[in-house]
Amino acid sequence: MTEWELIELLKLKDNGAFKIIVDTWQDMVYNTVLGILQNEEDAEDVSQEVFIQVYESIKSFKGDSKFSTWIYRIAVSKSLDHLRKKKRKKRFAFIQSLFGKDEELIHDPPDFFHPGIVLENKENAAVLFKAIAALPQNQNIAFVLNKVEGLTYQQISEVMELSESAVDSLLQRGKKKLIENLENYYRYNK
Amino acid sequence: MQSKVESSRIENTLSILDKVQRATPQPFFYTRLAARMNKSQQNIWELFSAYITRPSIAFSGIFLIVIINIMAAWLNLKTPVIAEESEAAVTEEYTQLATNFYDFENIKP
Repeated sequence: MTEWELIELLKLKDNGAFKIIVDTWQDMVYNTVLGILQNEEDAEDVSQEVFIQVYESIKSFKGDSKFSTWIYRIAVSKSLDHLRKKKRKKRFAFIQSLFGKDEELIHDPPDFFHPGIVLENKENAAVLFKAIAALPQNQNIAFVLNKVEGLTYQQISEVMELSESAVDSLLQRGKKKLIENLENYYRYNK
Repeated sequence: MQSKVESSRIENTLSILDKVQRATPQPFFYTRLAARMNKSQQNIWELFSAYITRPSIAFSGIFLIVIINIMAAWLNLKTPVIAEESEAAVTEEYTQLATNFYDFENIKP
């Protein structure tokens, strides 16, 4: 079955087509979302939300871009929404704690160990992912899509709706900032 | 300024990105997704009843009803005379305005 046939069937709410779509793109979605969120439980949850969105808004997919690009866009925007919600929740919990409410403060998450990294590199990888998470939002997304998901500059430009030169500049600045972050970390954690 | 050791450490850390493998979700991802989608398609009445039976909502509702009742009773206690007066006026007016044959025949109770 071709991609277009699957899309047409999904527009008719065909569950078999939906299952094939999920099975085909679940790794891509999960890996991208995990790279951005750096939390396996959240990544599972948001990946599910991505496919629910695909199922519900497939009729709005007109084929102007590749289907995978469209799914990547949903994955990125859902991940960013999740991060925003988490930040808001954290801020709210902090304010409540100031007013003496008996709410537990949401602490910074523990070190993230990416499941796709060999055991011997785990510690350095945790430092690296912390530094990636500290990048400005656009640089972070471009970095994850390029380095974790392995997309080309052209694919990233389609997902982020930017020119290729803008993506190149984002990645250059991202790498520079990442090196700065790592320098600072290693300087204070000798 | 970066020392040689520091620089090689950073390069070593950055090189991890070249070896990172794609992460995959736990097995049976589709099954969990389908279960979640079925759950969200619950009957709207089930969701409504689940909402109103939440303790915070239920107790607030009961409290509100009690307050409205107390206020209504209090307002009624304060204004009985006016109500009686206006009732009497209306009765009088209706008696005078009796227009059908039955009313003329049965003026006395």
